[in-house]
Amino acid sequence: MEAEFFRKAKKDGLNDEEAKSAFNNNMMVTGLLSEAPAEFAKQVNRRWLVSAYEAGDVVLHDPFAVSCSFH
Amino acid sequence: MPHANPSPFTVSIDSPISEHLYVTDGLLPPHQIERLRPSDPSLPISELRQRLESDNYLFLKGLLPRADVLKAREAYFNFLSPSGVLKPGTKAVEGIFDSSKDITGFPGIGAGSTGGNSKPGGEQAEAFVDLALKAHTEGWYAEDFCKHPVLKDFVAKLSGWGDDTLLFRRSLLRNNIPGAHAIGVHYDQIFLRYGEVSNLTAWCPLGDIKINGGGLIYLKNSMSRLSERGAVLTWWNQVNLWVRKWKLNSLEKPRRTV
Repeated sequence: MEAEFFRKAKKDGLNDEEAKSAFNNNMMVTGLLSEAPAEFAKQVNRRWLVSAYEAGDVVLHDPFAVSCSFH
Repeated sequence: MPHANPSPFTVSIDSPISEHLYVTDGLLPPHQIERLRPSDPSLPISELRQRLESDNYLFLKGLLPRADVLKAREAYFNFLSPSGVLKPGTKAVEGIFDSSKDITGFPGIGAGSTGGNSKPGGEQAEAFVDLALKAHTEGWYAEDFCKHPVLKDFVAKLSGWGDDTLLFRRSLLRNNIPGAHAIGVHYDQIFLRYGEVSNLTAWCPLGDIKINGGGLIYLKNSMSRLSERGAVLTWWNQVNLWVRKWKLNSLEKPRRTV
């Protein structure tokens, strides 16, 4: 994700410092990537995976799995 | 509490999703959603490992005993009930919000409802948040639930870490009242900046959640290629707010944490 961001930033003529700053500015004050999951999925051209859950279910995920929840 | 969802595996991963699914910035269009792939915990361990590696997640149906999970749920809501969060006349295990109350008095924690994860304002909100935070150190959670042997044993087997499997003391026990602030888009390494990258997070719903009921949703193919993980590490180094060099070789040598 960051790699894609930097590629785009370079293409648009930003130098490394400007690109870093721009990415940081895109991080939320809460540390989140985005508060807009629909727009986010569109930007990165990926889908959200959804499910009902039952007591006893467990989802294991690695530290790079991107997630959020419904409103 | 009623069994709200269809039985495991009765819903095909390819069946269409008819529910309207709203996120913070509106309705998710049908072309933006798919079903999370469920896995039977009794599948061969090699298959489960392969799924975790390729998908970034492993959705284990019915891994924990239902009764144990509901016991924690009941204890949690009993613990929170002095805040007035529960609808009078309902059972704690049901966890039903008193909808005559203003939801701003019951902010969720760890969902970024306030900047810098500071405490939201107001006396009622403070009482609720204090209880929600204090719940993390109660025995029914910190000991009984977080250290559940079924979970630890499963991860020990899945990861191959065996007896060296360590549990993070860090956990987040989150509630989310209907209409309250939902957790935004994130990946856990954001919140584990000093940590090794070979840890696993276990997300455990404390009860049944309908498909549109506020459970976690995952981005498909979040970052499945090592090259992209490398890029993330490089980025953290460049930003370098925390002056720490990542051990890139830890990508090949998993450490022993859950």
